Amino acid sequence: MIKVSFNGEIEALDAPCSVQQLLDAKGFNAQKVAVAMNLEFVPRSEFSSCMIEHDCELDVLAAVQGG
Amino acid sequence: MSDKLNLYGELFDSRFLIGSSLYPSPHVMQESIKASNAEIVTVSLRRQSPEKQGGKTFWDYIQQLGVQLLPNTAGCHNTKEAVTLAKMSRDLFATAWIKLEVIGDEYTLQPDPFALLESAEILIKDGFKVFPYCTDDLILCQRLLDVGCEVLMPWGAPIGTGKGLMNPYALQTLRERIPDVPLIVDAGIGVPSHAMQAMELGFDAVLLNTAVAEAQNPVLMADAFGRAIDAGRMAYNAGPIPQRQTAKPSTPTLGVPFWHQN
Repeated sequence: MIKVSFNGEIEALDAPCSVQQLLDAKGFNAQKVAVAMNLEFVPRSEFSSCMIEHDCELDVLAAVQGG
Repeated sequence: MSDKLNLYGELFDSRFLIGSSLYPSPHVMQESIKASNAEIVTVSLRRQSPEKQGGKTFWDYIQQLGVQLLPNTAGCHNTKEAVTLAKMSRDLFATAWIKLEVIGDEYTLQPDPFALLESAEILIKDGFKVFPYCTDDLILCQRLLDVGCEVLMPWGAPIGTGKGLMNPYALQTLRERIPDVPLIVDAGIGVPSHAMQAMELGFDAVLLNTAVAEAQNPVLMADAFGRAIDAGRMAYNAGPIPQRQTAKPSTPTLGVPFWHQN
């Protein structure tokens, strides 16, 4: 069991997984979101290779209105 | 006479950049943007839950408009946040354009000039086309140009206040000292006359959101702003008269009726 921060909320995961696996598990369309881990940008091409470890902070963002 | 707006080598007919936020509905947003004739629309990124399908509805509305997107870094308070959000925006929106906002004060939403400059330099080296939301400080603007910004976006007044041009002297000074770089007044505009004033000062464009989106009739207000911005640009190109301290009759003084020699 590992603990991560997902969009600001603490969550428990059974084991380390890739960004892509977490997005799939949560039902996100990976083409419609941008991801940062520990405040570092994660390119879409690295979603499958970038591993989420204990204490990682993830931000999954999507397009919204802006001024 | 061709009078296109040139931003990082891209040419535009409209000098109105409009925000996509705060509208009563996505439909009103879409109709307002159409009425504005704006070709550049600001967007942003926020945390999403999967049931919102990654902002799909908003994305669809925006894509239907076929406009140039200008993603912002609204909500960022330091260089690290702004640079990371800019990279995420480039990834998702597929554009190197970024409206760089780094807020230094929560109460006034005044940009942090030091973090803004630092962020701009990093992003430009990484290939971004940076549109810095800045104050009207001349030296800050010059430093932003030094690090490679090709557009500047000084505020008219704090975001959402609708107060218009708080410091026309500073804005006019920017125009005079920086004659060859596109200057866009961004934020603080309340009514079309404010936008027109900016254009009459020689600014190249105006970016606003709240004044349209929160008007009682956003579509009508978008149209009004579009016309005011066009009129202000025309007036600037036409060359306004200098102000005078004393009156000067406009009707010929020769042959004035009822005049007689005493």
